[in-house]
Amino acid sequence: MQVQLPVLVTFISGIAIMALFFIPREPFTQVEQLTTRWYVIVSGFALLLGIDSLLLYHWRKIKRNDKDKFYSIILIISFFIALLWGFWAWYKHGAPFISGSSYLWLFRNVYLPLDATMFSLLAFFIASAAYRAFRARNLESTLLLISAAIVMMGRVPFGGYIFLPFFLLFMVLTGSYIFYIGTKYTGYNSIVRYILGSILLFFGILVFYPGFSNVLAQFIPVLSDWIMNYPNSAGQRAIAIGLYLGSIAFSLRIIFGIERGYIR
Amino acid sequence: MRKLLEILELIDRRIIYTVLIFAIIIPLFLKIPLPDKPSQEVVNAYNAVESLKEGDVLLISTDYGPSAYPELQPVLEAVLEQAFRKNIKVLLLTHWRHEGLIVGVSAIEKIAKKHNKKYGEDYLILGFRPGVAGVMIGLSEDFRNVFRTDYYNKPIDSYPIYKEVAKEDGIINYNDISLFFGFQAGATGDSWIQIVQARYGVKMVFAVTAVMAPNYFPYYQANQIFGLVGGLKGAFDYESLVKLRGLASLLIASQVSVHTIILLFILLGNVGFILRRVLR
Repeated sequence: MQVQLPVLVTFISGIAIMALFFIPREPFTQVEQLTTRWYVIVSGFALLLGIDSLLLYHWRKIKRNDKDKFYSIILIISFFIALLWGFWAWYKHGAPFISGSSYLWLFRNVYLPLDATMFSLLAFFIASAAYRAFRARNLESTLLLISAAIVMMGRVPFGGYIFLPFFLLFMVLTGSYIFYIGTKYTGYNSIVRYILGSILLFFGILVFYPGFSNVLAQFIPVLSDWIMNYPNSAGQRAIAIGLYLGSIAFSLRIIFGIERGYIR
Repeated sequence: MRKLLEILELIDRRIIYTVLIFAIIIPLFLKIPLPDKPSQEVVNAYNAVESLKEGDVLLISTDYGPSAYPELQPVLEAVLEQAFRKNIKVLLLTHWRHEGLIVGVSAIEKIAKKHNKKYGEDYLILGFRPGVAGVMIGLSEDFRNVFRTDYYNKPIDSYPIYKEVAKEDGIINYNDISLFFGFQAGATGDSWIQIVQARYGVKMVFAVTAVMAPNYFPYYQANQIFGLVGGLKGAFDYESLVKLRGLASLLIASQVSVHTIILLFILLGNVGFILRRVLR
């Protein structure tokens, strides 16, 4: 019974909610709203579980005198300050986030700057990671490097013109490298590399011709839009289809009681 | 020579960080005006708002917090500027708890004050309710199902804007919304499209952070959304279209310099990498 009952409840709720989603008519809409309210209540309890788990984790760190216990102390003190301040603001103003509430002051002057600061650090990490990751190691990584450079410069004003010296350096460098590799081969393999290297060098040097550089600078934002609209959309769509098919399969396994991990 | 190439290939991250700090800060002081050619998806978003007539209703959802403030707040302010210039009624809500509310309220109060718009007559702040899907489905029947009271804890049907938007039937639902403009820094936008656009056919436009933009292009390409404003460049484009020099117009120069610096570092890393291979 301990297994059958939860499986039965899951089965009935799963099938009912699926049916409700596809029939947007009365009285199904009312029932759907009722279930979504239940969802909010259940997720509220999940929040309580999360708080319990977070506090216990940090309390244990303090108790066993962990070297990072200082951060745990800060976390627990901040948690209770925010909680008690929230209750007090609720008592005084009727709601903690109402206009004029002191809790709103705490939120605006402490939480918001901290949140913005944390996110702004991302720019530095991305820059450092991009420098290390974008290396022309093979054909795939070179394609990734080129498309990243085009999108980066295509998504800023004047980017097409800023891109030109990079284009020149990249073409000359890559062309010379391929030309150099050609010297290590003989016959057909060597000729192909010489031709490819020469083409890259030619297009690199062509940047000095204003007609070509103007066209190229105008073309970079167009190319960037094309990358976002077609290869990117195709990739995103493939990921989404895979993700949703996986979610459907997993949901069906739970609804039909094949997957019972949540009972344990 | 080998030593130099190794240095190029393994530049210390603290050097990168230091150069970046200057690349961000210096353009902020120089205030360089940059030319702009708005991308088509931003022009479509602008046109969607521009096509609204006086008295039409614009529903805005500010589903972002201060972390996305530099990218989304300029668009929100520009959209509100455009809406209030055209005397469009604005309803504002959020799924991002109080962060979304704070950024939304600060923008709408600032722009409404500039245009002498009155709360409860020209705009209404619905506020926040938990349960993303539940809220979206609840709004489809009657906004009062979810937002019985507004941000200031007063019944929403006590305001003149409610009676004006609700018309004869006395209820506001998605049928009364002329356009939805979502400001997204998370996955809530997917729910807006998958639940509200797909089921109720609401016309939608989105402003999203640069990291989220690639996820929204399939929706844009499939005409599920009419326009897309992505990242700071999108915000700058939108400000240019509205002819407003706001935060994005100031920050875009920093973005140009940072992108250039990152590309320069990538190029240096590759010079070191390729030449070291040649010399080996």
